[in-house]
Amino acid sequence: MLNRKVVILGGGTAGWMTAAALARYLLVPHGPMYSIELVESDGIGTVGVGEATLPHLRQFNEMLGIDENTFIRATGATYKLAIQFPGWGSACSSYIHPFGLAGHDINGIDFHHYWLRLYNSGRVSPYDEYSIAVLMAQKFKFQYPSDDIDSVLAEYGYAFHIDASLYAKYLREYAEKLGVKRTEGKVAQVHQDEECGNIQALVLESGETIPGDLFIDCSGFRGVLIEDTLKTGYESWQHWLPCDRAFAVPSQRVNSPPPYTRASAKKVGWQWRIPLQHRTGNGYVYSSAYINDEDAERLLIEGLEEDATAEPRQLRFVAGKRHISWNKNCVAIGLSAGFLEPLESTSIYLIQIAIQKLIECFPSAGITDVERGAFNRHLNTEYERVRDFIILHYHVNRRDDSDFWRYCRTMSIPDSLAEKMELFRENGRVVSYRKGLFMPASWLMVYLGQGLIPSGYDKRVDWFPIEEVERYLANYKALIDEESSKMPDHHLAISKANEIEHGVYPRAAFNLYGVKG
Amino acid sequence: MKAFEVRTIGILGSGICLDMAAALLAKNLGVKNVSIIAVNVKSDMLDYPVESTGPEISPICEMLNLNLRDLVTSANGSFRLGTSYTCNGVSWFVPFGSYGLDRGESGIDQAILKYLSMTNSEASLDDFSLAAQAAKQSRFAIAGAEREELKNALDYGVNLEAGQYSKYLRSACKKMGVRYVDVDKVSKVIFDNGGYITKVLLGQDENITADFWIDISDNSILTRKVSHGVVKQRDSWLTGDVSYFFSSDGHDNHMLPAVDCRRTSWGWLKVTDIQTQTMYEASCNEEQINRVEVERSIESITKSKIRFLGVRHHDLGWHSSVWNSNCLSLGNSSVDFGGMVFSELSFVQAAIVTFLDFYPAEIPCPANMKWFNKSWNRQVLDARDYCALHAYVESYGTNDNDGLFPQEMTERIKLFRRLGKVEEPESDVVLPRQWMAFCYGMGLRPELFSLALNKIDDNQLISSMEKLRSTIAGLANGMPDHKEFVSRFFS
Repeated sequence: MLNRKVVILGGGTAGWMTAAALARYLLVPHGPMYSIELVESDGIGTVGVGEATLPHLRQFNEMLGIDENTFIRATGATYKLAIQFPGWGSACSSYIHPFGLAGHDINGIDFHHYWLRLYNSGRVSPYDEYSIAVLMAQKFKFQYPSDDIDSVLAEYGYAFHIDASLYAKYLREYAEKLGVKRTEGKVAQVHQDEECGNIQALVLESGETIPGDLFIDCSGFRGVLIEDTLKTGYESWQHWLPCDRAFAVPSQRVNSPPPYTRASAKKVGWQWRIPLQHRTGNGYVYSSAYINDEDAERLLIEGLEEDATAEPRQLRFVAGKRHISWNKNCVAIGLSAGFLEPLESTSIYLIQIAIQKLIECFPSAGITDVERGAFNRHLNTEYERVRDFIILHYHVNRRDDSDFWRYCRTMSIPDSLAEKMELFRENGRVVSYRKGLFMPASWLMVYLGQGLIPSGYDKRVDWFPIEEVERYLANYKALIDEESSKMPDHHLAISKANEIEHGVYPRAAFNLYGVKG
Repeated sequence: MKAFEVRTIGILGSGICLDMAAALLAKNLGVKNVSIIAVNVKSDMLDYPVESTGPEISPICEMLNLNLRDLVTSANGSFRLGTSYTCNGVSWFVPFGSYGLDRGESGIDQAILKYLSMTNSEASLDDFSLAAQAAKQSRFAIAGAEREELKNALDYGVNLEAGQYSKYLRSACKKMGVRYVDVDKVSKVIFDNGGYITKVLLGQDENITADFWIDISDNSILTRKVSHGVVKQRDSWLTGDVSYFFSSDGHDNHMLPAVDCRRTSWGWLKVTDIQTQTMYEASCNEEQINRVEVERSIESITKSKIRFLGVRHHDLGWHSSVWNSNCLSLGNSSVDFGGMVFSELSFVQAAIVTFLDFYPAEIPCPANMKWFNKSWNRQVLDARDYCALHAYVESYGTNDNDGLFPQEMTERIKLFRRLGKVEEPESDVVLPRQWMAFCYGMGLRPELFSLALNKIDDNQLISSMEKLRSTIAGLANGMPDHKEFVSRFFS
């Protein structure tokens, strides 16, 4: 069978990102004849999560040939260098997790071991302050990173805060221009092959039948195809991630937006703040087992820094993922594949990864277990690694102001996370892996930012005179302090991007930490 | 029990593995901080006559502050661009370097595979490897520092006379302050109440005390004491329990900048040219053929008179957990896949580098130990899969025996056959392009190609690939003869 007709169900961020990317590669004049049809209903709202993104999105745009300044204008974007986490380690603490590295290895030994040595003697600044991206964020500065690998200016990457609905709208235009057909309608019925169970066609409420060879389910939490039709099954991670509801509300724009997302821990759950050019996105993520909806909504409004511009709307979810994302001839992408709260802005990243993996494994002739297996293995790894990293934020806390935090601190955690933490606690070692999103630089920021100080560190650092180590760290901090102070203000960088038709910006790196990362 | 710091490390072993372990530890830890005692235990086993490295030799030299030129000179060395294979009448090359002339473009491997599938010309994957083209003509050059694209394509290792290499390392170790002790045997191992090895008795009067131990000895003196009788894992496909070593005086030496592996009726024959000699390693099963028959067979294949150097027996298999208590068990006693693909030294080197990553602040350190073993196991399984591929190729196309082989290996093969891809491994033991080269070389052809290639018109792809092929051929033709390069390199 030649998979010539691709049907995408759902037109939110996931649906239109998928449509745009597939159109870019499938609907080419000299290639085999494919068609892509996206079915969506104006009557079904989109969740619009993922307004804060990761640097990988730049690579996705680059792949689609989208100019960055055009993208900034189209999506009301601001630059993003980091996420600030107030209240996570303890109620009065705060740290920043940047898209950047902290310090340099010295003599082949990771920087944080030197920091740990000085920490024990109280002669050191907070760990995150050895990252240039953090200093830029604190000073509301922004400038493109350098591609000179020897420069401290190459030690960070950047992403965006975007209006996800505007991004979906922009991608819709992009995809339709390339030939994607959009059909308005709600699915009433799904036809399956009686023998193999493959999906054959969608039947809309209007009676229209949309046949296809490969179906992409971007229908959101419900998973109309992957779950309602194919009964794939869902693995709940709620016992590790107990938050199951959120209220979201926009508020007024700010004139000088911070180049970072804020994720403030609250008595039960946490509140996000995402500054865009035209508004500020806010939300409160909480566990219904520990706080009722009314109180949650009230806390959200009380926590706003600007006036709300609309009524809060509620989202309900269960953290977890489908047992498999690609089942028979249906690939789930986005919320239909799984849900992990947007604490580390991973929603759009997980969509992007699924799309890129699908492009790599695209079954242009038949569908076999080989590509399904490769796709599912990869996505499982990605979801599980993001999951562990998010659980870490909850688990490593010293808050005693609610049962919620006490539960998070004492709950059992996945073995894969427990083993990593055990290693860090013992000797300050951080596990690195090749597949998956968060590398040691991120783990260290959260471990040390939330006050998890290991009982040991690499003893080899004791062999250097302490004054030399202290001087090195002080010099490094002075250098990044000076460099970050010289940079333009973030709001000016946004204005410049809006003014210049096509930007000249650095090539995207497929990691969180820029060229050097 | 009370935790203790590691102030002294005792290494038991012999030959090049002992010297390399001592050198890496001494250089990275500094003997003024941690004393390194190398206990050279007399071995009945033949020392490996030749050591063929991969590109890791450059970072190793850098790490040890060794001059590669001096090392190659003193060890009669030659250069190595990869491995040349001949099996079932087919020949192919597995390069260390990348395919194409990488200037940062992604997806070149897929583009080459698609091109090869579209054209019925004589072109082969080797045509897109500068290393393969150079090796076929016995040419070699080191790319200049500013030629990044050539550096990637011409990534190289070296072939060294192992005895000389060992001497070179030992001399470096002694300069760094490593203490060497030569002994005939270890008479007793002493443990404390916590089950940690505290000292080894070497004779009536002499003993060595250390906080941490590394056992690379042939008869696993310490390993047997700390591993509580756990035996090696061994798969049924693992064959080649004996290696016979031969050399010839070099009159037929073509100075191939590679290791040449040929499948014969009795097993694999590995041929390595160093400056003054050609070395042969015959990997076979002792029950099936004896040394004299192997020798005759090699003489008939190579048309050369060869000299028997010695034999090594392999206890095939691997241990998944090699750090127990305060002892790290390395060498062939912990992993042995027969020496055809990976040398004993390569595993020891990798393990010591990993150990330094998990270097314990103090003992006990259960989490460090656990993660070291996990990391070790990952490396060994990646190596096992690649070795299994060498066993798989022997019967490839004759019958369906996938069930015999590790599932991870058969999944990799299926993925390559379907999508022309190799999953990124979690270790550096074998690069994806080495898998690709081997799979393609043995005759596997992908069915599908990445959608990313749809952006390029087929004619455009063909024309750019033909241009690339011709550029590579031109570059290879312009490279100096390997022999000439070596003599220039040392002058």
